[in-house]
Amino acid sequence: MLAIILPIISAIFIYVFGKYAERYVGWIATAAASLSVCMILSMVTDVIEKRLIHDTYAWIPSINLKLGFMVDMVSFPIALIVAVVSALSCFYSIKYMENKRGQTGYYANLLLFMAGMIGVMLSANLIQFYLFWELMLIPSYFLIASWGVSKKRLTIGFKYFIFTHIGALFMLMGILSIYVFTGTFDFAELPRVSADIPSTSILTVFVLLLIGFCVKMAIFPVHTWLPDAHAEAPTPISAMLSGVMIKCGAYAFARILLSGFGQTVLQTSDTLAILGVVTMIYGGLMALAQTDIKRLLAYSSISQMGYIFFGLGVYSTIGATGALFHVVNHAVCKSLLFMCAGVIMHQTGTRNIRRLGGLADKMPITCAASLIGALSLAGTPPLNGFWSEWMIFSGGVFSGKILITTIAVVSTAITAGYYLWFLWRAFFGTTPKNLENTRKPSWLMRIPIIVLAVIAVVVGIWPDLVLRLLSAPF
Amino acid sequence: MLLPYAPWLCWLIPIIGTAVTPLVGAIRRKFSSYLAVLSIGMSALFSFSMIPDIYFGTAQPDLTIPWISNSIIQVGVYIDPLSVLMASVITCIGFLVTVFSVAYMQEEPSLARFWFLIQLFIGGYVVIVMADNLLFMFIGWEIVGICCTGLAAFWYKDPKKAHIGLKTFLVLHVADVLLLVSILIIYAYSHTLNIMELSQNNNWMGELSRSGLLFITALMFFGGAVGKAAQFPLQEWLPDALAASPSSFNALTECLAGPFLIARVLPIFHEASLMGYSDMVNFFLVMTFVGALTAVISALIAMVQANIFKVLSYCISSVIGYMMAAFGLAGLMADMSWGYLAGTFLLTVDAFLSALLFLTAAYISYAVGSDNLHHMGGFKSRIAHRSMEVGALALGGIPPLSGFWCTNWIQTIAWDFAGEAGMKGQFMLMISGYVIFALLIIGAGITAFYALRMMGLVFRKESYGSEEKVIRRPPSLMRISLAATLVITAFLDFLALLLIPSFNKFLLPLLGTLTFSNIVDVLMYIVPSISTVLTCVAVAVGGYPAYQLYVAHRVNPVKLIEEHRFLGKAYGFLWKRCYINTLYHKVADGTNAFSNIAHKHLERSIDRLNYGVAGLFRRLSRVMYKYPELRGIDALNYFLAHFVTSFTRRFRKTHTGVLSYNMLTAFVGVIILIVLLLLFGGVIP
Repeated sequence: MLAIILPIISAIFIYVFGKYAERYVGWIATAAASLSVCMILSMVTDVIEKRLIHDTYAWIPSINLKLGFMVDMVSFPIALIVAVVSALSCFYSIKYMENKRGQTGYYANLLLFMAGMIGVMLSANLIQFYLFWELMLIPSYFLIASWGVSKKRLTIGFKYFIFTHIGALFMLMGILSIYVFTGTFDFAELPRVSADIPSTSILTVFVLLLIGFCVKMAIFPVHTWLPDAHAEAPTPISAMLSGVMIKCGAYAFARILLSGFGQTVLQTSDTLAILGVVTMIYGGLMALAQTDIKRLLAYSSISQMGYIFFGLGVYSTIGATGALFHVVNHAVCKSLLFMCAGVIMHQTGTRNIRRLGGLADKMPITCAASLIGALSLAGTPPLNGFWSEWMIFSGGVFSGKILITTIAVVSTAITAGYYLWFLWRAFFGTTPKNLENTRKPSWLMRIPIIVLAVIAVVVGIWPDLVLRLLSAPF
Repeated sequence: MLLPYAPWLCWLIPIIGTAVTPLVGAIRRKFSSYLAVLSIGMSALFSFSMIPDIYFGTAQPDLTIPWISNSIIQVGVYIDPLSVLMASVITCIGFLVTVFSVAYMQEEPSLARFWFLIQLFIGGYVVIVMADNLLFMFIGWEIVGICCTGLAAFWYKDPKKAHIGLKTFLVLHVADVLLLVSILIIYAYSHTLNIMELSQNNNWMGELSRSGLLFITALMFFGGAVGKAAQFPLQEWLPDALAASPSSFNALTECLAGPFLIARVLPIFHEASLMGYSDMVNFFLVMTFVGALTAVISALIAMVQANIFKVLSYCISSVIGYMMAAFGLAGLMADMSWGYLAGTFLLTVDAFLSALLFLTAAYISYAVGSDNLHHMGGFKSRIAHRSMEVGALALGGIPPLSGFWCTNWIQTIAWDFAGEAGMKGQFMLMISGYVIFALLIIGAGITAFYALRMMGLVFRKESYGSEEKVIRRPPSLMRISLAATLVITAFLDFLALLLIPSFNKFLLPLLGTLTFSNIVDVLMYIVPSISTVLTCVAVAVGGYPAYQLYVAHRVNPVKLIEEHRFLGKAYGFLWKRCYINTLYHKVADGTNAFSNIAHKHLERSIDRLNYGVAGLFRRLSRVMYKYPELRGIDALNYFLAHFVTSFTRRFRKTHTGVLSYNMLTAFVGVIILIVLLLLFGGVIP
């Protein structure tokens, strides 16, 4: 619980007192975020021993609502990676956002955003879940609309807000109908009481919730907010948006739909798997058509969300575990790639891939890290992405969907295609004249990249490190 | 076991070496070379130490340790004749190449990166051969693929080479994806990945066959091997990758992993074929035809290439075609051992033969500073010439050398197979057998041509074009390792016939039957056959023009092509590599164009739809604001307010304040009340 409250308090603190210490505000925020990481890490022994942490406090007794936090093998690894990526983004911002205005507001919003995401992961009931869901939307809207890079930032921020908010409202309707039928908001009771929902309306409730999650995960065809928003946000925020925020949808899918609506997922699993594969291929093809680094990465996120959605949708234990593992791996690799893209943009001043070239000897660490991130997402062993994709696809074949899975696996070739194209254009070949004086990036930006790349390799060689903390919610 | 933990350490040491290389390289550039020699040498030592265990049959076949808890994913090694043989071959060649490269790459600024890739490559390669489960094998497979890419794009500053790296990765990845799918399907049906368990329990094949997936699964598995082994139609990555990468690396011949993979699973698939799953016959036919076609097509393209590394890579592709044909025939026949033995023997011999040829090519190109065959004349070096002779003559199938025996052996099997099928009355199979036989014979003739052409061009007395050519003297370390390779290869080459029986004995645990107990058996099988005659004819037909054109210089090849239009056209077609490469680019460009079109139309229209919906709502709200809101409800409110005020204004006129008027209205009111009381009798309705 302290892990959530800490960033909120420090956000307020930074906003109020920030102007007295403008130069150190980034460091203070990073310290607060890292402290939050430590808080979450401190629960690791309980999770390994499979002890459920479930703290509740009275809130509104009249509607059976308590304020509660729950940590188990579904929420813990995702909450941890959220905190880690947020803390690293915060650290990365120190250099990247150095000369931007409104430092205090930026860091305050960043911390609130982080608190919202961790809150979503650790909530123990649906109402609290919804409140945190909205809490992460508002600061992220401000981050895009105020610190965005182009003149269109207000429009794009607005589009992002409306899209996500409509999704959230669908979800709210679903949540309230669950309450009407079952009389509880509690996650822990959900699997037990979901049988109370009459079979005629269970599909409606399911679809309402699903729409809400799909918008967040940017599943085709409700994905168009994502490329705009992720390309527009300042890079550390893109890393958080693409790396972890959209995973809230995946987490919610696993937490609410898989545990509460297992039968319905099973009935609709063909549709869900097809939706996943369509998103995979479509996102990949769109990424192939991009020349803007950040848009390419944003479309790649859509494609990767397709993998996760597929893994959750096929309804098999190994598939769902793989999908949750992929949530963690994609968070690591995509944040890594966004940070590398940020380094390229910061050092060269261009974000058009066609204007880049031969940067490998100007920034060897960034190049190696990008290679690791890209190859991992393309499913190359022995990097972490391979394991989760392997598990997702074996989930697919185990549930008997051989044809769909085959298409899904073949579509990974598209992933390899656009990533390799990007790396080839950016890092290899001859250096254009105007980039010849490109300087090495600051260590402040390189450290988060190195940390994430090391995580990707270590988890790849020793996947048990994460898999021990992770299990499917059914 | 001769040395403890040998099956683990033989692949672990190079991988650990890989991890340490960047650190060591950072301390001092040269240290990374020493580290590589040490780690690969150790790896070779551990690999060799397993040979006696196999020979005496004391090895424990399968060792595993769990990798991911609560799942069947394990790290495991499989110790059988095939894996130990291949591990020894790879690490032995790896060691020779490493020593050669120490000298060859000594001036390279990013030496640590080179050693990183080479050690990872050898580690991954040994993982492929030692792995006891398909997933672990696939991991090694991918590692090798990435290292190939990394080495092809080693000089990444050159845009062309960087692009070749991209192409290599993509072509290999397409094949790997097929392999991955088939592994997944096998896993889903058999619930195991362990190769031993797969072969012991083959119920899964029955289930696969019943669901109609057996053929396609096997085919996708073969597809993976086709990519790595550079077989038709995925062979085009190899020549470019090898021409672009540091040439000493080429001797490691990563594509031999393809036939190895097939050799590894062939017994399992063959069993299925014996169990009567007719799908498998088609599968093996496809395999044989792919092999035989590659043998011819790659050899044809090799005839005209100018870059020596391209010639050699097509040569490897062609020889692997022979291996694939041998394995396919092994699967088709009731007794697998003939084809299997021929394939694996060729695999072993060719590994050394290719290593020798590539090292020689690297040696010569280092000295003359060019990869072009036409620029290699005039370089005198006894060791390079001897190596080239041994390599090229063996390749060309000149009788006492290994190439002759191997190709002849495989052709004999094809002939026998056709006969066997004819006796059983399987007409189509018989025809296929004869076609394959014919293709292989043609392949032998073409091979003789390009082998002699390569030798002739390298041995030219005078240089072509540039007069003032600086010839560098290769360092002695290069000469030593080349000499070592030459000795080993010559030993294998000249004594091929003698080695076959002991090779058979070595592989006995795998085959079950001793096909050739001594050299007489071998001679009796191979020599008195139609194949021997035809091979000799084909080699003569192929070799004679090459001799005339390139060795004796009686005819000028350039003039010949100019004079005969047909030859010129054929030359152009082959020079363009049968347009297969162009086809790849077309496919890639097509995908790109498609994605652009999809982005332009589909994506934008979805986005437009979103904005359209938003716009619709805005317009709707505007209309709603205008009509129901402003003109409707609000107007009603105003109307009501207005009505009330106007009414009261009019009504106020009656309030005059004069007493008599007030009294009068009160009086009228009282009268009305009385009338009402009288009418309803006191009851108000």
